[in-house]
Amino acid sequence: MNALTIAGLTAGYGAIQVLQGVSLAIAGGTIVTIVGANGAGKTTLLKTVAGVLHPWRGTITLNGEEIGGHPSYRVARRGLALVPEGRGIFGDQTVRENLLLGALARREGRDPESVGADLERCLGLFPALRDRLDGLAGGLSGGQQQMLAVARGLMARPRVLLLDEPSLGLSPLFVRQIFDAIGRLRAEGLTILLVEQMAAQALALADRAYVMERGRIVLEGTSAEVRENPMVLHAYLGRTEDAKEAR
Amino acid sequence: MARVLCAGLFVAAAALPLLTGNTYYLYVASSVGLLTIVTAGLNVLVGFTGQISLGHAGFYAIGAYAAGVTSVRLGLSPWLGVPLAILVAAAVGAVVAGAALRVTGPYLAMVTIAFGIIVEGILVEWVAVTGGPGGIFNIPKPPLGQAYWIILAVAALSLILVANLRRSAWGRALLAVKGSDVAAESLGLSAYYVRIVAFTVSAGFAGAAGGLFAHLNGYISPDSFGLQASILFLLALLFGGEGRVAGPLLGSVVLTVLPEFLTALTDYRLILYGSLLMVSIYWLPQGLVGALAPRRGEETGRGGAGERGSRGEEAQGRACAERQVEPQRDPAGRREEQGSRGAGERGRDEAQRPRGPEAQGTGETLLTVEGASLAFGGVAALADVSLEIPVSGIRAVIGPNGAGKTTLLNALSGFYAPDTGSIRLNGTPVAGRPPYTIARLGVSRTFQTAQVFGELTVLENVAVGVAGPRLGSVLAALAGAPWTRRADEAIRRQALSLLDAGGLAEWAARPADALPAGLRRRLEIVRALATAPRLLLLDEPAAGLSPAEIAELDAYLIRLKTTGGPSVVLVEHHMDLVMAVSEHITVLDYGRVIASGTPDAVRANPAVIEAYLGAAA
Repeated sequence: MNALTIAGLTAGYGAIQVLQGVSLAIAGGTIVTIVGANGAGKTTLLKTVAGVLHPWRGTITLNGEEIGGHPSYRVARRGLALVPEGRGIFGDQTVRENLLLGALARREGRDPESVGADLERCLGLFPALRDRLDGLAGGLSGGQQQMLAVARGLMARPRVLLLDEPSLGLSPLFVRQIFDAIGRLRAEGLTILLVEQMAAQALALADRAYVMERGRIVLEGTSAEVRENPMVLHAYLGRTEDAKEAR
Repeated sequence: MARVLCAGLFVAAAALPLLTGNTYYLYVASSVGLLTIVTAGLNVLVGFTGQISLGHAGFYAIGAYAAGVTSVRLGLSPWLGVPLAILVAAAVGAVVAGAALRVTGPYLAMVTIAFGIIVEGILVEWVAVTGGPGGIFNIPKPPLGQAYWIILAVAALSLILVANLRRSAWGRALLAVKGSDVAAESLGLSAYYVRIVAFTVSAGFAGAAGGLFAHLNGYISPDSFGLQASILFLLALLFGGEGRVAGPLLGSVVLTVLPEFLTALTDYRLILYGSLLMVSIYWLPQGLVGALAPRRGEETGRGGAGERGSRGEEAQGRACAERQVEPQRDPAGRREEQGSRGAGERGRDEAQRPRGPEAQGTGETLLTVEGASLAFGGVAALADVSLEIPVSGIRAVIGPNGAGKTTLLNALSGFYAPDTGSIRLNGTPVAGRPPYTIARLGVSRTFQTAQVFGELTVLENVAVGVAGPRLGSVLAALAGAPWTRRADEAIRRQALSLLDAGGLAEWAARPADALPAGLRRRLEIVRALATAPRLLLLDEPAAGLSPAEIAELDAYLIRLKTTGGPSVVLVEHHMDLVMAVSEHITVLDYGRVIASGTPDAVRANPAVIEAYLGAAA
């Protein structure tokens, strides 16, 4: 069964329509990536799915339940976590508090032992956070805030995780670590929708891929198919360095 | 179209005394005019700079009493009263602003409430001048029809003045400070000073209205100038639509006329105001004018802030602003080192990159950092960092997350003051000087999360950079003086040509809010270049860009270098970009310089591979 199905989704801001009817499906336990230029509507899509933006038309189905139009907190409680672009961490609270707040959305495993175990797991994924655990999150560097945002998303023990540019502002070493971490999460059965400008790395990791342009899906397929598509090669995998690193 | 409508309205309003001799109508219409004058001025503070005052009844009172005292106690001409009212209110406003604007936001609102209470207290207690609780009687009163015409003219003038201001370099500076005071300072504007000017202007308008009120009424007493009046001013503005030039007029009409229809309910006036305030905040976030204005495609504003202005951005802006260093002037030892510029021109041996005529980059040093250290709560963000930045070329700073790269840029641009060590720009010590001063010395920058001025158009964003601190006289801007307009046209032309070179010309008229993330970064770079800096600091300009966009950025930076652009310090994680454009790389880790040299040397450095690149990159 599909963990997340989106059909005919339109949405936007004020009078500006961004999504022009987007349909996609993510099978449980797989990674789907969305590739596209800045302004294509990728972030808008994630925000609409997570309930941050109200959909205009279309349906969003999470594990068989319709969640379109539900407020974001309710969507979060149904097991969908969004790690937003721009981080959105709580700067006036410590790193630990940020992570513990992430656990509030979960339905089961709320006992201190499980939460503690997950905290350890997150710190294992992002060792840089361990040293700063009791420091204010606002004092972290930009890249560290990005790690914290991803880790906080994981603390919710989501069934579906939406990642908006998790590599943004990370050093090459950490970029590799974060992609490794995403791969491991998939192995643990998590369903992931990944938006990423480092298209080569994202495609290497994903099972399926969609290409978005001007609010529409213009291409879809297995990530291998999409990777070989001439248009994608030209527009999104243009630079050799990215491709090299992906191998 | 709008002009014709306004002119028609004005003529209709001016004809009112000819149509009716009813003094009650004329009095209500005059009250609308007075409220329009106050709120037009308040709009400069609230709408343009985003600061709230709940004490403007204090300035209204000062204006009224200045006029009353002038004609009754001093026996001078009433025609002197109103100009004096403006001067006195503006002067008091400047003094109050100088003290109060050390704080902003809710704290400023509190301080202004206190100011209003103090003024009220003085009116009651200083009996010799103010007449105490009884007030001042027998203020000369022109016939009501004439008074109305004068008030109407001043009200119309107020709206025109504020519209002029909005179109001027001052207007852009005010909205820039509202949008991001951090970015405004990085372009050479002192946010504190800009806010003081806005506060002073708004106090002057309130003073004018107060002076006119005294002559309209013929009698003034402290009762008219309480907190309730201040709330009414703010409410009229918010209800009409702050930040919009016509907002004050509409808000004033509704809030003056509506209660008159409901005279039976005078006791419930406060309840009515309270409800209106809630209505306007919930359903009319942009006020009546915002709700009535035709929805343009690009109209965004507060209602639909989506992709833009994410919380993280604001948080970062604030965090940055909080760290903003108090201006610690060091009168001594500023000039003396001018001559001794960073001695040893370390003959730059990096002619290895094939692109760009590095020959132009003589070994001259623009900026020298010596032993800079900076710790936040025990965590060393910079530890004994020394580096030299030449007058041209691109130098990259790389390092793991949290290595202190952004901290270094913040120290170079004045947002942080290093605990120890020195930073010299052309020999001038700049460490610890405020960002706007350093910006004026030729250091410009971008931010990790792009800080654009959301309420300004893309063109106006760049125009803020072009004008920098050269705003001219605020009075000339209000008057819309011809030379101000000419200068402004030149600024706009220059901004447009810069946008053109940056590939953003087609976006020029869009609000910067509406730009997708990648283009915002580009706008930030163009805006920073608009200040004609000698040193440009770029904080992760390629973050979030697609490979194609990174290639464009690559070409743009190379073009900048080969066309005699400023020296560039580039903080970036995209190693392909770093390798392609920079002649020299400095590597930071835990706040220390762990390697420094040519790109090839750095890439081969084992310490760099270990700390940053990971296994063979």
